[in-house]
Amino acid sequence: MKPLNGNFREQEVLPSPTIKAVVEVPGLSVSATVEFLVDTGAARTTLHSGDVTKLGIDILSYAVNVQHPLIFVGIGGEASYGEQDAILHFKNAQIPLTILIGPLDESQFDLALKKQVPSLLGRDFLNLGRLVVDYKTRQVSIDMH
Amino acid sequence: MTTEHDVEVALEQFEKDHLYIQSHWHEWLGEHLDRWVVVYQEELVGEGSTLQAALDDARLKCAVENAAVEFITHEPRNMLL
Repeated sequence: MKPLNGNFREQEVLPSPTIKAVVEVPGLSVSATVEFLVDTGAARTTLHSGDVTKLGIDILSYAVNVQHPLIFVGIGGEASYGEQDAILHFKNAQIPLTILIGPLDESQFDLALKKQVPSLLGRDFLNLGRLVVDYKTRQVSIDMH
Repeated sequence: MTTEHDVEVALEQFEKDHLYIQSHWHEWLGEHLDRWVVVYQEELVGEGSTLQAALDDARLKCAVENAAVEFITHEPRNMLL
């Protein structure tokens, strides 16, 4: 399998490593292209407000049906998320992963949208391979071997 | 969209659309400041004061699920996650 390649997003105070994928959520019958921030500080791969909206998921309706919300801690405090089985499609690989969708709380969801909190590629995914982030050569890649 | 070919096409276009936004960023700081834009096939297909409004604006012209969306602002994203 060839490495999964990304690039650096320049519309930031400091360029940030990103990898793009098509995210398919069979249980909700939706799929969309997503630009993930590569985030070794995040335990779990997460779809945040902007991409949740783009996927056409109504967070209020979704939240009602989440039976076991998971609580995660960030700088801003705690937020709850729903777990969802997904398939991450890349140019040369497709990888099943249970991802998080949220925040489930409406005010936190709206705040994350306003602040443009990106979707995150977390360690549950990154630890499956060998991650290279090298700004000098503009290389962002994950070798899944 | 699950075939390998469809995924490849969608991701290549998504990449191009992000580059298109990047190349128009300074121009759009004048025309679309503090608004969401939706780009598909290297064309601005929707905009609005909220993401939902921008997606609704674009929905008649493309499958928004595969479009690139951005908030046009003078303030680059600066966060600790």
